[in-house]
Amino acid sequence: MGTETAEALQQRNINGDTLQITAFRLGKEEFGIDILYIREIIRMPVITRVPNAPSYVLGIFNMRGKVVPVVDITQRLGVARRDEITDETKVIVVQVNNVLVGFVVDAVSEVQRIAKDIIVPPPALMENVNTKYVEGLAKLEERLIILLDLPKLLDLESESETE
Amino acid sequence: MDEMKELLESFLVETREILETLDQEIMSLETNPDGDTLNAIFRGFHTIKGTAGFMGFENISSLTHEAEDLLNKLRKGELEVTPEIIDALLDVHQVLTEMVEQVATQGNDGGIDYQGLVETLRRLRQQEVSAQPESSAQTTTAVASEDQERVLDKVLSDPQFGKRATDDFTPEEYALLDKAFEEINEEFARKEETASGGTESKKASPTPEEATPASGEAEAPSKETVKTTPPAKQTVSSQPAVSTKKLSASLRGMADNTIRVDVRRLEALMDLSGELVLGRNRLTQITESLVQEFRGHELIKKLQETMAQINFITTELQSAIMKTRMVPIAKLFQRAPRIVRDLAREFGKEIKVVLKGEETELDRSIIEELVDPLVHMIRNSCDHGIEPPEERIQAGKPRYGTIWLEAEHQENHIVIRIRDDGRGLNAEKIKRKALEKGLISPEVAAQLGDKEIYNLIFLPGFSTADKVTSVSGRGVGMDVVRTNIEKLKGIIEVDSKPGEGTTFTIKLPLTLAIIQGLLVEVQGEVYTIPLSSVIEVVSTNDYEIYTVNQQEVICIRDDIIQLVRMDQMLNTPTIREDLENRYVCVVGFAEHRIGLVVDELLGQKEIVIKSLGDFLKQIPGIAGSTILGDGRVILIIDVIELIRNAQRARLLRGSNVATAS
Repeated sequence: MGTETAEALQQRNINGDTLQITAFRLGKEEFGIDILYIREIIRMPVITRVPNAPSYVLGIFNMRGKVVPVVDITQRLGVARRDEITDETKVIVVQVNNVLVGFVVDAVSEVQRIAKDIIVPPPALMENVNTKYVEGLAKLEERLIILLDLPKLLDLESESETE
Repeated sequence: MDEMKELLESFLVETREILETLDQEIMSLETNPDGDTLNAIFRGFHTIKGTAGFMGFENISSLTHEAEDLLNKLRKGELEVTPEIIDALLDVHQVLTEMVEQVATQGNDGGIDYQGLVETLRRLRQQEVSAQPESSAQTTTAVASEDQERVLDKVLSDPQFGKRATDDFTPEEYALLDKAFEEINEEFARKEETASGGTESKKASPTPEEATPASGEAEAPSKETVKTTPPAKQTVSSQPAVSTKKLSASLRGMADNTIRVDVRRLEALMDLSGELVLGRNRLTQITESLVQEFRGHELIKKLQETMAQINFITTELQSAIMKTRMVPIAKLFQRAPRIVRDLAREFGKEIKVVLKGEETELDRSIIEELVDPLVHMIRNSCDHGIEPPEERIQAGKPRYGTIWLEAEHQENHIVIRIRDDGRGLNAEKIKRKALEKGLISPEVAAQLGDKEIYNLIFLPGFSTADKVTSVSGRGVGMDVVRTNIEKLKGIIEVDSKPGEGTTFTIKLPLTLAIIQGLLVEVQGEVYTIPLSSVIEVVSTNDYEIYTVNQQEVICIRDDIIQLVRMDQMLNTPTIREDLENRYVCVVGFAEHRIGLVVDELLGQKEIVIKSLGDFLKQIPGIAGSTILGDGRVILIIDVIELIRNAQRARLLRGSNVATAS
């Protein structure tokens, strides 16, 4: 699938009435990202540590011949990840602006189609999550899915400035 | 519309190509005013004229027309090749290049003034060849050959020919026939020489003393037409005529068998072959495990055989694909004579260029990156290296300086040498400058050897030129050269003897994509060191290790080598203090050596370099990554960066490493 089609789809997704998201767990929270960013969801791979890299970089791994970095987004989001790696631990590899990067999540729940009109903007402050990277909240019956602004979350240059 | 665009595109490609060779041919005409070269130049201009006319670029076509007229006179022997004519032809070349580039950017060839040039061409065309017999060898041969043709025709068409005995010929006929045969013989001899590919091409071109003064003398009493030649006219940039001719001949021969391919397609092929190598490596590993487990099984033998075959084919395929990207270095070297000629005139020096090994091939992308460094080094040699003629004569050297450009293959590398027979580098002056500019500490300066001092010229911000000239002395120079070379994973060295000249040696990998790597273990992590930088590997148990100024050094034979503990450098989770049973990989570039302390050596592997990607960009000390046969990703150590860090620290700290023993 060419990037153009992907973008077109993404556009349609945004303009349409529904949004398809992948939901995943990190600590106690449930997050969601637009499904069209996702390239692959895999089990925790063998990760090679990259010395002298920023602390949020866990390392790099081999995704079928491609070298892909893996980052830890919990620091940024201000949430705690489960300490141990289980069968449920996954790496979600996304492609944002042509850059491939993976991040570790505690569990991937499911693909959801949610109606746009249930999405509300994030409050100025949230108890457990840094709202800077939150695009909106989707309230489903008993769940609250935090929709992430992935490009902003992964734009790591701005991070190094604030540090 | 699209068709027009395509036509224009091919016009540009073709014309640029012709212009590229023309430059060479005009240069070689200066030293070898022979018919072949003249014809080649004439053909070149003729083709440009034709296609430009067809495309409606009238300026290009009328300028080439004027040049053609001049060349025609030369071909007929009605005119002699003089430096002025060469200049004019080079000017034509220059203006044509500008016009063509303007066509490329603006779609037209107008607005560039060339009337003055046309007048020069016309004036030159009006000149007559001098009457002196010795200077008009060209004319006589040309006239003679017309006569010969006539006589030969007559003789051969004579039905009585076979019956006529040689003594029936008139003396005149006899002499002409004799001469004709002689020339035919010469022609054969020349062809043979070209075919056998004599590497020493110099002999084909007359030495400047022989050539220029002789014709100068002859000109003197003749009509004052050629007198406008500037004083530097004796400047001879000798072009190895035979090899260029050989090359262009072989290129012409190749033309029928070649096709144009988009570089991106080749790059895609290259990437795929890289992936294939990875797959092959993995397959080899799996096969090995299977052999361990099911030794003796009938299928195992077949598997091994197939594996061996795949192995072989993969390697062959890879090198075949790599070869498609290879370009002879002549593409690069060919620029030199022209640059040198212009510079020599500017500086009032006499310099010739000798090229060697132009057929040596290397990766296209590397050639492109080499243009700037090479031009810069040639300029440096012309400006700082070669002395003015008077100074050379006083020093007992020939009037004209020589710059050699040489290329050759050494295993997996290409070595390029830029050598001159000028005054050489002045170690004292370099040292003084480096101190003045605070590039080294006084303690260090006192301890540096000559070779180390010479290498200071590569430091950023260094320039010894007392006066700033248009070409050098602006303080950006050799450090840019070095940076470019290092970007190509190459090394550059300088050596010099006062009064005898300077040699720059550049060593480059043939390709940038696949390298041999030495796998090492550092506190449980595996890294790879490019084997091309590894000089030797020793055990820490076999040599003495000292600490000098808080810097660990190892003494290997007479060398004292700074150590870098890889676990510390790489911040491994655990750090080992002792140095028992560990290894030191001595790595280096230029004359710099450092020792990398590692725990284990795991062997040597052919690896495909992968970047760390846009997300990570630059990581200090890491040059990239690669995927092993078992799928693991490992990192490649950036040896050059480590060495530079160590060197910088040492130069500024002023440690006594050099006298540690």
